[in-house]
Amino acid sequence: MIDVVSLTQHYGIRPVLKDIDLHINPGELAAVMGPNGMGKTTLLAAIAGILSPQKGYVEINGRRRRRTMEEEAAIRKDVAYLPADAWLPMMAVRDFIVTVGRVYEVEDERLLDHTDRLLHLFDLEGVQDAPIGSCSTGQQKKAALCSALVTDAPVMILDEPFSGGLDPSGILALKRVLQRLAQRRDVTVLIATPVPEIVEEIAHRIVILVDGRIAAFDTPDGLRKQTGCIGSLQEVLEHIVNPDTAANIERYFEGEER
Amino acid sequence: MRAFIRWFRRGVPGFSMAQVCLALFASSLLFALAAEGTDTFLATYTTLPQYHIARVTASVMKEFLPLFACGIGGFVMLIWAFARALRCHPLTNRKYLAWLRATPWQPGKPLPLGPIGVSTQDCIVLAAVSLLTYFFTPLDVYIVPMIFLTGYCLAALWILVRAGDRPYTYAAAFGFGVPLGLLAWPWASCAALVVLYGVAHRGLERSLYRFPWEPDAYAITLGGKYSRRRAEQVLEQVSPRLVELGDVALSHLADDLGWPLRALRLRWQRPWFSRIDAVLLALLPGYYIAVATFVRWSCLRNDMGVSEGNSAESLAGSLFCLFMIAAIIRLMRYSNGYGAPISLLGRLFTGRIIIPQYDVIFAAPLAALLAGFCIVTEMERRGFGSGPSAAVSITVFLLILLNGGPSLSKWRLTGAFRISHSAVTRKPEYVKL
Repeated sequence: MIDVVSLTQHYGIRPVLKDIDLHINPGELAAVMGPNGMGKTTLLAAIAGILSPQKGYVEINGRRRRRTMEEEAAIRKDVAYLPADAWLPMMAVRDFIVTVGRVYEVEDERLLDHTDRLLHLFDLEGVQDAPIGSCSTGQQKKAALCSALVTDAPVMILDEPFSGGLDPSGILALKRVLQRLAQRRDVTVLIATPVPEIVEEIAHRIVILVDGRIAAFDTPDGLRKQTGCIGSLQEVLEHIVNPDTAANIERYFEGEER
Repeated sequence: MRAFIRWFRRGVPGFSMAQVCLALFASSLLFALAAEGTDTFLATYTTLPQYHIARVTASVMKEFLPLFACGIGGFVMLIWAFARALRCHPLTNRKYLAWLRATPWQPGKPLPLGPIGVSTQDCIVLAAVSLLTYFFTPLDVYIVPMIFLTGYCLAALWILVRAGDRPYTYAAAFGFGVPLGLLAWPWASCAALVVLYGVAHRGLERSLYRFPWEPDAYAITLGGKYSRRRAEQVLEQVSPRLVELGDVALSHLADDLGWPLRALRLRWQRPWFSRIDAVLLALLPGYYIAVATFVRWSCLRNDMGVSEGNSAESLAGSLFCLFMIAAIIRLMRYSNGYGAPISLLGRLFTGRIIIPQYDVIFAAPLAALLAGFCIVTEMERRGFGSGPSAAVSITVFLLILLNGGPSLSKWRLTGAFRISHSAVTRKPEYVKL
């Protein structure tokens, strides 16, 4: 369970997030969407504990972030966070995944078995003993995803997991894994992604951020009802984020015909 | 005779002839330099080639030989003492430790490479060198045992720090001040060194009972699926030190996992030092300055050729520089990779000039600087002298700096910082996704 209460975040003068309130239920898969520069990564980073918000707070499974040492230490064990710009160590792919699993205290037998299955799933078996630095960008992204998935953490926060050079089979594999996680009641997943097609398939609810505020937070069907738009999620999204887009497009082509 | 040599060699700390020759030569040069001063040293040693080339008179040799003998006598024993403690203790000899772990050796049994305390063989060497020094050099007979015991206790202190045996480490660290303080009364100083040797040796003996110090590498094999060799290979790739340190070293893993895992570490190393450590460490430098002041006073009182001099002139300035460096080191340790939550411009424009939960890291260094500088200035003004002023100000400075909150662990879990990857990106062993 993730609770965000009145969260406001500045980096400098301009607030990036303004008074955000968000409640994500246990076992839910929520996706954060919105145009570039609206605060998606900042919201995930604040929930993951990378940032310290100027106002408001974040609670994970009922424990408030950075309130006491015990609470924060317990939260860190419960949360696996994979940023879009992670820095990976120059160790072998398999060793990296196993080591992350050990840091999260995954039981050895389960860890090794899960690592083998993840390597197979993401087609990394051929490079499992190669240093991460020698892998392609897509393979590095897959290794990073495996490291997050191997943790078995009850709360997973993944920033742009489908970007970063993933090949179609990698995207499909990740989608299936996330769908399976979404079916479980004990894992809460929060992802940020700009791809509506994928989100529609896997997410229970969608958070739409516009100008640092939550413009909408509902299921895909709920969003359709809210906007009165019966098309694809992309159209719904456009309707919320930029209602003038359709009119602008029409106006553009009208000008061309003249 | 052959049996005696065999028995003697058994108790000798093993080092090669080349090491012995090099150590002897280097130590005698250093000793001669220290004992005779630069001018005499240069004058003496420049005559050496002349002696060989021009066959200068025997008087040069007469002047030269006692000097060389002093060096050999004193420093042979210093090196011997270091070797006795360092080479014979498994904790400071990695290969020896690795080999010992593979043998059925257990604490309480004799160590294969010789004892860690003074053996009969050592006593024979000590007696021989003492007699040679007594008869052929101007040194007093107690000098050689004192040098030997000092070397042994220093080496033992290093091992005790590594073994993490705090009571004995601090006993040895503070105990060193007693023989040092009694330098004006050499026999008393020698007696204090003997007592200190007893303490240090007992500490070393006790440290052996923690053998093998870390769990066996088998403890870190992964679920029995890998062989021990494979596990070691895996861990060596992660970090070479893990093979040696075993499961305990897992706490270091968070350091090697890039960003953000490095910053959001799950496993926490034990704090660098506890509150008691912080207090005792803060007291140590001040204590030694006090000891040095006492030695100076006692030497002056006993008319031992120490000039009075006045070194207090730039004391406050020098100490302030030292304090600044220490304060900056602490600040860097807290803020490297853990920046302010908003920029300076953001602070100014949003009116949040002070962010208490972040700015708290500046409090202890600033308070320590202020207190240390004020104390040294005020005490000097009141004529306490440079020794007591330095001792008190350094002690107060370190007490505040090392004990002032928040602790590093608390800060890294509860501080209002923004985690950046600056600490990782500077290193070439990480790759950006």
